[in-house]
Amino acid sequence: MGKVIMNVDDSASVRQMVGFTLQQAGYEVITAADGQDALAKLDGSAIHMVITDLNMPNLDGIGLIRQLRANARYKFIPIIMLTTESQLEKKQEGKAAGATGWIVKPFTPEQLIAVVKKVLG
Amino acid sequence: MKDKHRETFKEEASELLAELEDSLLELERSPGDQELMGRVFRALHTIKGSGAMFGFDEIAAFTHEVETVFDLVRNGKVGVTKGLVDLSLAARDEIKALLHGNEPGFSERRQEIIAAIQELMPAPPEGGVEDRPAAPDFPDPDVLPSQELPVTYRICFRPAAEIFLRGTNPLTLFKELRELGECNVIAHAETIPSLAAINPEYCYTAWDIFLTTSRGLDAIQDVFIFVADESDLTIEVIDDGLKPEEDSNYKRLGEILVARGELNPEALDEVLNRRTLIGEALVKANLVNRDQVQSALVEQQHIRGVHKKRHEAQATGSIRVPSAKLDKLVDLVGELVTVQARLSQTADVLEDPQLLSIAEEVETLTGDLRDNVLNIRMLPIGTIFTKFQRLVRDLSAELGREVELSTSGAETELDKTVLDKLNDPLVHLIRNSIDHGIESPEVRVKSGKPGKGKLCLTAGHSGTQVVIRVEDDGVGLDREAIRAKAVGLGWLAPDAEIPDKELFAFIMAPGFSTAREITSVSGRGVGMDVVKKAIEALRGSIEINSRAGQGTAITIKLPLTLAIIEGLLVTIEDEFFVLPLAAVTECVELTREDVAKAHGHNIANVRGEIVPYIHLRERFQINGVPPAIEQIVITEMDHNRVGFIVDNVIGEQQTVIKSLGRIYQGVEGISGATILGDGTVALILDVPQLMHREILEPRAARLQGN
Amino acid sequence: MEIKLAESNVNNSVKLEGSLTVERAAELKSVLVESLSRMDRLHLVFENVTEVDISFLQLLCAAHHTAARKKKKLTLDGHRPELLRSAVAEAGFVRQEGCAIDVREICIWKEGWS
Repeated sequence: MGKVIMNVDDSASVRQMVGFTLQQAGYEVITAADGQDALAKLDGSAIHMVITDLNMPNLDGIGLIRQLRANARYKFIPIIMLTTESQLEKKQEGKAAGATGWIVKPFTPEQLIAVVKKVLG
Repeated sequence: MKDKHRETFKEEASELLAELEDSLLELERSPGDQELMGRVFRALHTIKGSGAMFGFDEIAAFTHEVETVFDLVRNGKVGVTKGLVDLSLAARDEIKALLHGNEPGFSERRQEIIAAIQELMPAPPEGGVEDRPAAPDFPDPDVLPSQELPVTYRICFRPAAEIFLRGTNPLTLFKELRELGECNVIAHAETIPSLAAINPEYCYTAWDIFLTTSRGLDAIQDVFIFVADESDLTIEVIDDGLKPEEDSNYKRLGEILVARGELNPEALDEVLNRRTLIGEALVKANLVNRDQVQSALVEQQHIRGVHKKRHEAQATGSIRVPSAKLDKLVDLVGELVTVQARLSQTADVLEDPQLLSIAEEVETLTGDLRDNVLNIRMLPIGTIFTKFQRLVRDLSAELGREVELSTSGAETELDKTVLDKLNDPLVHLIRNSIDHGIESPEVRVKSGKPGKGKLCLTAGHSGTQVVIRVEDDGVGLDREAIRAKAVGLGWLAPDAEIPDKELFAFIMAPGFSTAREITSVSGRGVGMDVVKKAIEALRGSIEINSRAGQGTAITIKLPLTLAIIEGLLVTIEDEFFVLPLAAVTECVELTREDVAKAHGHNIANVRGEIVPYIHLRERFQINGVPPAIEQIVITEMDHNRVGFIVDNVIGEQQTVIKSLGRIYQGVEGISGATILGDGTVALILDVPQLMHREILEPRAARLQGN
Repeated sequence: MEIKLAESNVNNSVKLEGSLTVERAAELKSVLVESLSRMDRLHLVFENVTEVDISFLQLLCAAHHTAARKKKKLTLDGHRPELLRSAVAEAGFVRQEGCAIDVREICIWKEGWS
């Protein structure tokens, strides 16, 4: 059974690239365009990991991480945030909100898979 | 694939640019609107981030400048002015042009926009760090691991209590560390509270990890990259891979604890004086806890293991010598052993105490020298195992099989001369397994087996012998076909009951083949008889086990070395002979009455069992009269017991094998010669060959004649 | 991801099934607390274990110490699923000499893990 990863990003091209890369590596992917969309789609279903962008409309990445950590169902799942090198502060904020780790944009498919394997084991 | 992502990005960016234009125009009308500022920033941020992802580096770099100013705008540090909006709209048009591939490269227009935008921004704080193009946080996975020496680290890792609540599972970190090299993990569980007090979602455990890796400190730090900030993490080198071997015992337990600062040296001395088990004593004295002792023990074992490996690596990697030189050395040691035996004998006769003690010393030294010299020629069998991976791969492709080869015991050592001669028989056995043993995937699946066949090569020691097995999970031998063929050849009576092992042994007899079709693999003229002969030439034995439908295992037993064997020295008249002791099971007397009872047949009754024998005096045409009581040396090979009649059994003898000169090489029944202590030559009997020629073949011929 | 807890009061044994991980740690803790308060001898049996993590090993340790202090007995069934064994080994919980609290004779990590 492939593990399920949710990818949250307001950029369609990033969603496409992340989704494609993860599917190629055998994971099942659910995508959402922002934090609110993610929460709507997450309603109680089994997710093994979340990869989220930080800057998003409606509900941003930090807000999403806080909400996930407050939900018993997603309290312990790995959450990886996508940041850019100019967002060092955001990285700290994300960690404080409960993010497991981060990937710095731009990244290659190989780097993405390396991080996913790192936290999913 | 990348092109598809690029196309998606272009579409997305076009939409974002349109949105950007709208938002900017609206922002001009309502300059204080936070929502609008956020929208502009996000559009720029996405264009920059995604652009960089899909190789639009110029767009990413240029957009970054505009994004930076809007980050300040939304944080209230720069106000929205008409000038800013104008510049931003101009920038938007530039991005659009770049997106469509216009005006790439250096552009004066873009430089002007950037310069104007930067003027709008407040002076950056001292050493502004945010905008430097940071090095990627992750090492390029393509970077080759450095070819450095393996270094051993002690990693002390005490994660934050909330580590689970941030989605980290320490077990995955340990798994990653294990991928870097040899790794031992030991938990400090003493801080785990009672059941009533524990918060089950917190982590209370700390770990000491001992890791030997040549990948360097960076690789270890990368493992902990996500947790390093909130954890206590120290990484120390405890063995740099360079230290010479003077200290192969590593530190003692107490010293490790002192070196870590967990124990003070005075306390250690005091406890040491009490002379009990140190770990036990330290715990009793409440100086350290059991987890700390356990961790120190693991460290000690880990480092000892590292030293041992290094030692072995140095031992194998140090010097290359042509094997002819080693052969010469072995010859010389052989001569020395012979001379030493004469020295001992002479000293015995002369009964001179001084000479005796010298002779004894020489004997000890010679023994050590012999063992060491023979050891030099020993090579791990893995050197030939590795070649077989390719063979199996090619053969299975050729024959339409799927075969997985696994090997174990590759470190088992054998004399080089044995190893050289072992290659061909093993290749043949592997070919047989793939060609006749392992079925095609379709057939296998039909009979409920996995489509991929298994072939196992294992080697190991058993006493003074090396045991090598070639085992497959194929179709197994066809018992009935072999039986029918054996009966057809007249080797077996139609109603004879015969154990499987003996039945299977028929396929190793010359002129026996049950292959129903000749393929490019097996039809090469060499059959199992050749394999058997080759193994016997190495003074080894071979045995077949098989179960229909489940597979076949072929077991080869070989002596460790060919140069020196344990022999049994016997005499006939004044001739000396040596039988390999490994083949001898017992010696019994043969009286004239026994001979008479056998009515002219060369058989003896040994405790109720009929044992055929070979009269060596007759066989080698030695003149003279046999003594009234002769000796039968009973040997056993392949479950056949055969006796050899000699005059006297003298005793066990370390036998240095000398090959016979070329002229005598074809002499049947003799495999070599040795020189005894007094200089006399003794011939070494070729037991398997004699057994076949004198007993088994005539027996088969008789059966066929019937 | 399902966990089942079945117990039979007849032989003082509690059966732990499914995923023994931090997601269920609170639930597992209350099972252990409740069982230990009720029984003088608690025997844990593992069946169909699908996942084990550090949080569960910590709980076992805590329960064991508590039992030892209260002069009660906590034992683990001899049949130990591979997943549990490997988690114990990979997390470095195996002990040659008993655990920190001086319960050398009865440390649960001492034997039967390799």
